[in-house]
Amino acid sequence: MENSKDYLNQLEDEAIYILRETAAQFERPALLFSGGKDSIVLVHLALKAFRPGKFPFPLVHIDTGHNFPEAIAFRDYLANKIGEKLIVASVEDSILKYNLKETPGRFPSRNSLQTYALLDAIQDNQFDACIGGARRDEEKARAKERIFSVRDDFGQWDPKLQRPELWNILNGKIDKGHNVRVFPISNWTELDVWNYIQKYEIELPNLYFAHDRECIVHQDKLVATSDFIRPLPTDEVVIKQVRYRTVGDMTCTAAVPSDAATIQDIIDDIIVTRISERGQTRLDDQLSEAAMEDRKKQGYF
Amino acid sequence: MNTLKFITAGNVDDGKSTLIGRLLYDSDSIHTDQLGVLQQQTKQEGVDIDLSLITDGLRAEREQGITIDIAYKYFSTKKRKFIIADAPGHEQYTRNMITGASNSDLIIILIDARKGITTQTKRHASIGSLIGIKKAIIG
Repeated sequence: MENSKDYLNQLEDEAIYILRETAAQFERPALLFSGGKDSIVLVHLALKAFRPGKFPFPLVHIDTGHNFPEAIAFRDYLANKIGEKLIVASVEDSILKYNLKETPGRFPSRNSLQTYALLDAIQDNQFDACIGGARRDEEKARAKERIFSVRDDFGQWDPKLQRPELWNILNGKIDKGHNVRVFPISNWTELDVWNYIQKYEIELPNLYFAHDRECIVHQDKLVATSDFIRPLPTDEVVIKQVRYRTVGDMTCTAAVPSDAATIQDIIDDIIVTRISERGQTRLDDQLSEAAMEDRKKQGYF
Repeated sequence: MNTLKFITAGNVDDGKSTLIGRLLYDSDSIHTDQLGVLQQQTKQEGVDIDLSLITDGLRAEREQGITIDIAYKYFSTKKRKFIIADAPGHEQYTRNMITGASNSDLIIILIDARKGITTQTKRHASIGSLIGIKKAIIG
């Protein structure tokens, strides 16, 4: 156990270093904040990196319009508590502006539409770097990312053109119009994130802890009913004690049956689980075998 | 020591990705859903699961059966945490191998006994040495 505590310090040092490098190398960075555990940890790291000074970047939320109300409430609460600027870019607005078509299907994901709102926010605010809470252990395309991931004018990721990134030398030199995505918690695993949350008693939305919820059973996954997902007469609807292992949109994140009420319970669950974080919960990743890679190529973070 | 970061190196098709896949599989570090996906993606004949696909996260890599860029994999035992960097063997992707090597404590150099030491083997070995990696396992 001692080992893992030391290791958390190393991870934390690395992340703080990356945040400070970003502040130093870029003129107009932004921190992408969703109200989920990874971005909450990023905010906590930013507090460690910059306090007593203000953050040299605003928090930016790409609001799909399909978020859990609890996540939105937490987002506003946290931004207010720390006294930092929050910019909300609305996917609904992008849909109207560009006359975009919603993804068809029962559990429509607005992930691909998020990219428009993200790119617009980058354009409108002239952001040159976007800090995000993506981790390499989450997904196979994310496992391939650099810490500073260079994107072109369209925010597109070209895995064949990534730069060498030696030791901790982060190269943020970009041409005008290009953008860099920064991933300070690249080397953190799901367990590392939870151990860190436990160590610092970081506040989280209660979605992560066991609660009762009405869900539809869809292909072995539990999807909560809401304004966006109404049950059909043929659906099996249950009320179960569940928690959310990750927090994406309500329309494409599955809940997990669980009685984990404390952070230690959650950590115990993760240690024994045989299913990956996104495998158990993200309906949008399962659309195709390269779903995440395709989204990144279109400009997603 | 708390964490060991290591990188696999060597020529194309000498077995780097397969070694890592096997290591992850044997240490019970591959999630069941990921195993399912690997089984579906396995194109090799006579093989139930092609374990090299676990690190080949890009579509182009899976289609061409080669590694293009470093993939990072994480696993732990009771004693220690490991970060594995799976490197590409092709000459044109050497710059990606260097990135992974610069953050590794140990380099595992694989040699296909049928082909012997190749230019890439030597290149990776000298990069490892240049970067300052102090320990190597040759297999």
